[in-house]
Amino acid sequence: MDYILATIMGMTIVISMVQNARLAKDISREQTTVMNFATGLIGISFMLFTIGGGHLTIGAWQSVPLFGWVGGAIGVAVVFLSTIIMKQLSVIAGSMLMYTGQMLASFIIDYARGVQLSPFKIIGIALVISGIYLNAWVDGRGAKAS
Amino acid sequence: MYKPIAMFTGALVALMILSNSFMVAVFGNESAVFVNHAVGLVTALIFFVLTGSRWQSLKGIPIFYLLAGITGLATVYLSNLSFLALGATLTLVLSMFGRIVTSSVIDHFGLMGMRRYPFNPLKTLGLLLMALGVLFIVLG
Repeated sequence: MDYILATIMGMTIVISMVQNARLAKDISREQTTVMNFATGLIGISFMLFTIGGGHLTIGAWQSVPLFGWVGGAIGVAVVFLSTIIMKQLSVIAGSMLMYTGQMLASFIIDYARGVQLSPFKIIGIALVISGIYLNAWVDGRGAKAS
Repeated sequence: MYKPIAMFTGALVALMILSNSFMVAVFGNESAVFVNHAVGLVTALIFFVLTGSRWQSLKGIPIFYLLAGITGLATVYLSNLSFLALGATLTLVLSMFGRIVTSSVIDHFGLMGMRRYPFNPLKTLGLLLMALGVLFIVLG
């Protein structure tokens, strides 16, 4: 069951991006981004209200570094940019390229934190990017032929 | 070129996860997600106003496309569940599998209003390269 949930999680990542991209066809990207966070906020509020799990004690706020507060703002950029990306690239190219960018950045972050570099990860990133470019090339060829 | 922009967006995701981890450490998962969305909504609204955007009617838009935020929450929720139950490696491999299959299906059929990118046997090689790359990343 857990295996299925993990697989579904991969599906929902893609579906949420496509939902936003599709919405951005009818309304502006800026409004799409607002809608994304508004519905998400309503959802998490509902969850907190029913399931609980919240402990937002005022005093503890000071122990969160400044950088810890900007995640939501970064998320706005992610949602906004992803609506552009999903329009210009195939879903798989957009999704997998975002993944490689995420891995590269995680790599750098880990390195800054003293984690050992792994050549396998770099090879892996190169392989993913090659696969994306290959398939994008095939797509382009098919478009020219038709 | 949009491919580098896609990678840059992914890099932002990594930064976002890092930022959220500080919040989660102090407040726990659900509260951190709440704050993340609250900050995000305020930021999105400011951005909306600063760009001079006009609020357009949502009439006629299929409800499913309005609920991306809920799907996003499902992602966070399932991600946390999976990490706890299966660990990072297995979660990543299985979710990447889900990601690749879903993306390929949506592309091939042009689902949810996306452009059609019909499957071609040649693309199997590309998919294999991606899958192999993911394995290298996860196991490396």
